[in-house]
Amino acid sequence: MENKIQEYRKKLKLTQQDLAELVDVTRQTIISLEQGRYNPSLELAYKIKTDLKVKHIEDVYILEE
Amino acid sequence: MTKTKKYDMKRNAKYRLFIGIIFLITGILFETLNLLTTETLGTLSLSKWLIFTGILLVILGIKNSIYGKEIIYDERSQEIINKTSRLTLMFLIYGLLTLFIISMIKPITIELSQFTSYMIFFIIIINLGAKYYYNKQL
Repeated sequence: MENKIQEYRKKLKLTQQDLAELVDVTRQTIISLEQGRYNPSLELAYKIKTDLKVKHIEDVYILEE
Repeated sequence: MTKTKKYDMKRNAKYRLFIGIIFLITGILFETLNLLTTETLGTLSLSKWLIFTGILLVILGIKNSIYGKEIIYDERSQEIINKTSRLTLMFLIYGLLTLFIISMIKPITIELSQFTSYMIFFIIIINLGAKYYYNKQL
């Protein structure tokens, strides 16, 4: 699953560490998420979307066909 | 989402240090009073085991109380731990099965203490390798 976490994070001028602290995970997890290596749980995905101030979850996560 | 857990190494080092000192004192007491000094499992007596484990716990306790940090176990870390444990257990089961089959063909004569140390060594190696692999994968 592709995502636009890095794009939205940079728009808000947040560092990976800042976002990690906001959603209560490690920086390593944010790195993995941005590189598309790890797919988050529904709860984490929702938390990230909320903290990145994005309206719809499908704007951040793109499901590959 | 599995709840994020935090482990404070510095705080837990105190308990480790305390248990280590108790082990050490009990071991030394047993050794001086000549209690439970008979060798079990080939080489180690209970008193010597207590002293050895006590020293290890004290060293680890001192190290963690100085250099200890807070470890965060989030959902990714927990998934890595789960996968690593599963792989280690699988290796252990298949490894022991292989040894079992080999021993049926040709009996293996090795000391139990030696076998245990080999087994622990390989478990640690497989665990560390699997952890490294899954850390890169996830």
